[in-house]
Amino acid sequence: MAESVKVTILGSDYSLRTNDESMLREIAAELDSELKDLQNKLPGKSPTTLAVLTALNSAESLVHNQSHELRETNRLASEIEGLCDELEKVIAGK
Amino acid sequence: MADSKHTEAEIIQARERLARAFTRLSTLVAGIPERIQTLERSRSDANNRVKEAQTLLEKERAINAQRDSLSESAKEQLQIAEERIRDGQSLVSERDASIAELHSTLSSLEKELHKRDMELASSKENVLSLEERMLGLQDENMQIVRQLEELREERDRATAELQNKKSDEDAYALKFTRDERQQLLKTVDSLIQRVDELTSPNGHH
Repeated sequence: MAESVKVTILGSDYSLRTNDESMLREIAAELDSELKDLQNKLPGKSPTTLAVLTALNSAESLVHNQSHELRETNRLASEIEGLCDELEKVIAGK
Repeated sequence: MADSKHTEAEIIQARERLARAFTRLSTLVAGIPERIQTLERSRSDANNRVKEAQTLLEKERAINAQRDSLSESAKEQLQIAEERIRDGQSLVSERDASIAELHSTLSSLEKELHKRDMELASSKENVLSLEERMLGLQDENMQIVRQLEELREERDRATAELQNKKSDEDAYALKFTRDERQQLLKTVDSLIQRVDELTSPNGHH
């Protein structure tokens, strides 16, 4: 059941619909924190610029995380498959 | 954007692969308890077999110990038997030497017996010869006895004749000369001497 949740990001309020309010609030707090950090580092920049830079950082992090997830997922799958092979060998070797 | 979708697709494939691997692993893991129970039973059976094998091994060791003991005893018996055999062989050697000596003695005795046989044969021949000789002597003795009887008869006749002669001499002392009487006496003495020779033990021929 989606519900409307009101969050504040860089001083502006946004009403968003979500099925997971706690996660939405966590994400909003993280984004607000990053924008404020960037605003402190780049004083005088417009909120749009700060949003674009934060979006770029998030996109970079997303790509990096996807790549990391892909590698780790494949590595974990390989390890599990290897473990399955070993188990099958052990079981077959009765 | 295209790379992101491609990466997402790869991630989805990787997740699916991971899900399949988990499913496979879950299936395997689900069978592990049964497999462990089977292995536990096998281990228990194996332990029982090991215990049985250990029991058998202990029995085998005991049997081997008995065999070793028997083997030692057998070795001692064998040594005693070997010593007896050596003693027996020594006795046999001595007996063989005695037998060889007896053979030699027997051979010598056989030669001696053969020699005695020959001597016996010769003695038999001599006995036969002596018997023949004795028969001849008996015949000769019979002849001598007959001659002695004849001589006795002749002596008796001569004695009777001498008696007659002496009667005649007494009756006709004057009819014989001195030489005739001496001749008659010599004849009578000669006859008596001959009779004595024939009747004496050394007189037989």
